[in-house]
Amino acid sequence: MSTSALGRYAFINAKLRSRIGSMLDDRQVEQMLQSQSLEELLNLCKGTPYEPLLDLYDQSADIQRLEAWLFSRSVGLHREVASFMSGTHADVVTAMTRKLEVENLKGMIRLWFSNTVKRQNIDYRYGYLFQKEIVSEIDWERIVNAPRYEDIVTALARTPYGEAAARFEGASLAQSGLFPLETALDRVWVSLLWSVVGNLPADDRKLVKQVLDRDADLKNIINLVRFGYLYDLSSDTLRTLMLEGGTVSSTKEFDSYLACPKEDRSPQALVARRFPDLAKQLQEAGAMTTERQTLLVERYLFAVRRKSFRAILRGYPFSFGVILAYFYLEDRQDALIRTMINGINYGYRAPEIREFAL
Amino acid sequence: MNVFTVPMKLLTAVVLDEATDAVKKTLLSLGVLDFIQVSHLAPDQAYRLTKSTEGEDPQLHAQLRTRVETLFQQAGRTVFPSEKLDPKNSQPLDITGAKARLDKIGSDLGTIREQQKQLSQAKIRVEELFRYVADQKTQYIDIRVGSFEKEGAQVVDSRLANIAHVFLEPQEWKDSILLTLKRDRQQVTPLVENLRWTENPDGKRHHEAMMMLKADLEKRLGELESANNEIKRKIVARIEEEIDALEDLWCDLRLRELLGEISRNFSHTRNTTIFSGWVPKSASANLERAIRDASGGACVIEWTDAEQMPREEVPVAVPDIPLLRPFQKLVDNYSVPEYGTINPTPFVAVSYLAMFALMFADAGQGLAILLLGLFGSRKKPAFVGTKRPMIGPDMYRLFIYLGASSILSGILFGSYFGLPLFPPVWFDYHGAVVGHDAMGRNVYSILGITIWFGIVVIGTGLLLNWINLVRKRDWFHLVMDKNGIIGGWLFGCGAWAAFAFVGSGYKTLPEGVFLPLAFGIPLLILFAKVPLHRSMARKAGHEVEPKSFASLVMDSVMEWIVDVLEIFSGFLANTLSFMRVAGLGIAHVSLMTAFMQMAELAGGFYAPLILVLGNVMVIALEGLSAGIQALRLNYYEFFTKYFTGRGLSYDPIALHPHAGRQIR
Repeated sequence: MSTSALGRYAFINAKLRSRIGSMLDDRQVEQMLQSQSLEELLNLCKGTPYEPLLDLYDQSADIQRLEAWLFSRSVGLHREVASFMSGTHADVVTAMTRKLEVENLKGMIRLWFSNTVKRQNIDYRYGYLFQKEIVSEIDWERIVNAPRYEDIVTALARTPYGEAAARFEGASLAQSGLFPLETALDRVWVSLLWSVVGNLPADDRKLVKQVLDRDADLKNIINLVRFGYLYDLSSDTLRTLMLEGGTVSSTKEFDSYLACPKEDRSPQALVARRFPDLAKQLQEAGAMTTERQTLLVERYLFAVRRKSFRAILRGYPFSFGVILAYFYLEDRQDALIRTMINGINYGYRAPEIREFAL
Repeated sequence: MNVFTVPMKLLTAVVLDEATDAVKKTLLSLGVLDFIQVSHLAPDQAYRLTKSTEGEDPQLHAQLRTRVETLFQQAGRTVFPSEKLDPKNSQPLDITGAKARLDKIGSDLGTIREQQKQLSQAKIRVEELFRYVADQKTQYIDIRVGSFEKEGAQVVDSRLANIAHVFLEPQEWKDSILLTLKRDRQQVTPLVENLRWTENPDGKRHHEAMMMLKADLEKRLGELESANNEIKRKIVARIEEEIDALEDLWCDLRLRELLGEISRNFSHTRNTTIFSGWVPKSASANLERAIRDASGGACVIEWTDAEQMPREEVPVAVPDIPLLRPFQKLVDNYSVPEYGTINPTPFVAVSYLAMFALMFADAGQGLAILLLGLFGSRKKPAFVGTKRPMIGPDMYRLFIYLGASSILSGILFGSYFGLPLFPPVWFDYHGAVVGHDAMGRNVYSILGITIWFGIVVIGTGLLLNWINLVRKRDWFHLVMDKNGIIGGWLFGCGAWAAFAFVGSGYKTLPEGVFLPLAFGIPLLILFAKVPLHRSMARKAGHEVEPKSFASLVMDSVMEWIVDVLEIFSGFLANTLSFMRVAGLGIAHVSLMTAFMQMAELAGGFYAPLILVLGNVMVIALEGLSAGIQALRLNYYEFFTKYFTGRGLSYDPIALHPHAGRQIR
């Protein structure tokens, strides 16, 4: 490894690892899971990175505000990490930040859809969405207040999402719902990420490609099972859902999965070669409901993902891996906090929340 | 002053079952007994003993207490009423009643929180409208100026209740103003038409309406803020309403938890209760008297001296010396000393201050740190409910000591805010660094002083280790260990030879047979370390792995090589590590010199400004650096010589939470 990699990652590696070290440990999580009320949970956040949630709740008693804070924290962390890097490396982090931008954009368009197409009152809900710049200069107010879909397309014209948005029309979206548009936007950020990853130095490029390929495979399998097996989407629609990268969508199992009539699709056959353990588990599960099988597939693949990020963290420290692992862990921790907040607020007990969260 | 850990005694007591409750309360009131399980003392008798099976679930108490504490925290109280804990007032606890009370408060608070949530959502609505009005983003808002045929504000507001809007009826106008969002047009327009709205065609009124709306929205935001504050007051008031009952409940629950914890350490025969635990020798007589009183004399008490028990099982308490508390924290942060060994705190106090003083030798800057410490110590403790301050009272007290030590060393070296205002008592440190006349001293003299200082610190560490080993009767390590007498002797001889070598102008080592013998004999003795250790272990009755002669020789050679490397490279590195003291001191002088020169070059008004800023920077950065390096030297070069950190902390079950180990 060249010394430039050491120079590039020495600071960020130390900084991110120290943050990883101060993340919630198992004991804290267990204690939080046992909380009897939201106030108790938030009191336990004292001294953790989530301490501001306590004050926010005290000011508003509004858990949606807490979720909004978690999102803005995540945006802040991504932008901060990007500011620690330079050149292509910063571009890659910025491209990763686009995932959050797309999530926010989808949230805005959903609000617009509810208000304009479904004629529902969106009232204060806009206030929970992130309204500042994430990566591109997007006029969020213009999107949420757009009288027609075409105005959203115009608002996005100077952003990377303009082209994808322009492929749809308001009338067709009113018929089909937002799902096709949302998946198209997802593909935009993934494609943007792939385009900058190619500029990374060889070692980093290899590592990031591996992670992206694996993530694409996992996401594609989950989509194929969830939408092709659980919700019976057509083969053509499924094909458009596939994210760039990975190998799953170019296998013969994929082709035969799509070629099957909907009722004959088998998740077991789809994953048999790539994840024989999972196939075995599905076989052993036997007469499980479709929902349970889908859940089993998702859990298994999430566990695979978790394991691989742990391996990255244990590996060579001066690489882009530390950034990928850090974002993964932060994301997971945020999801855990979000689940606990909602679970405890709605009166769920520790075992149920644990099942959702871990 | 006792420089060793506090002497302990082991209590074993048997009381009649009927006195158990009274004894439990007494033990909790005294709070000096660090329990151990009786079955641990007599494992062969354990089958005759039964454990306490008192019914209440300790987790339930802890859960309820946490709920009460959460209520305290919501009311802004972070300190719980532990001073009210009194085992004598312990009453039977009505768990169902307690739960019901907490549920009722929780439900009331839930209702108030729901109102708060609605306020929060209303605020989001008003904020959005205000933003559009203030920024004149008319593309997103509809402003209607006109009148409804018959309906007033109340009806309009109720019809538009779920839609972001403002309806104004200015007193001086015949017309009304209605502000809504354009995106809500589909819902608003039919409502407005139903109420028969007539728009005023005078366009000028819209501008005035905009101003009025802005003022009104601003007012509404203020009102929402006040309403939210009122809600927060309501929450506090609801909790305060029952604060006495909650405090009592907290005390009852806490007492139950503590008494339950004591119960879990009790063992029982058919009619008696047996318990055992460690107590400081000084508190033993008082404890015995209290147990006898509580049990009405129906008890059997036995005492065992700590010396009769394995040292590693005796918990460690250290004497509380108020003046040395800041240094005690430094020791606590490292580890717990072994029972019966030297308490490192007084030694750390001396070495830490000396190291800091050598690295930060400036009377003026020391005075600044001292004043900061004095100022901080006079500050009242933070209000309940606020965050704990980053710098606590002990840290401020440490500043006072550090400031005083810097003043002393500053006077010795004649440095006052980097200026030689008075002649040095010892020598001119600044002069020695920058190459001016400094009574024949230069940078090398400073390095030499710190090396000597290091030798003294390491030597003291070795001496303390020997004292500890003698007290532990660990003769083997006293002689053969790298920090034992052989290690110390080699260190001393090495230091002597090194100084002689430097004294000869880096040319020759001391001549004659002394040096080869001084190194050779201990190294030869070290070779016997492995066989000696095996033989002593065998004599002590420990199992020793059988080995062939060749394998024993191999082990001895390997161990010898490792020991020799550790002794020579270890002591060399430890000693040279003290050169950082000189390094920091020299950096301190260099920085001050640089600021002086910058001030001279800048001149005029900027000169004093640069000097002040320079001093502030040096105090902050160098002060922090010297503090950290002094800590590092203590932890790695001094503690490693005598402080094993293998002690077990004394942790009695007591009413008031405290560190446990410091005994007054």
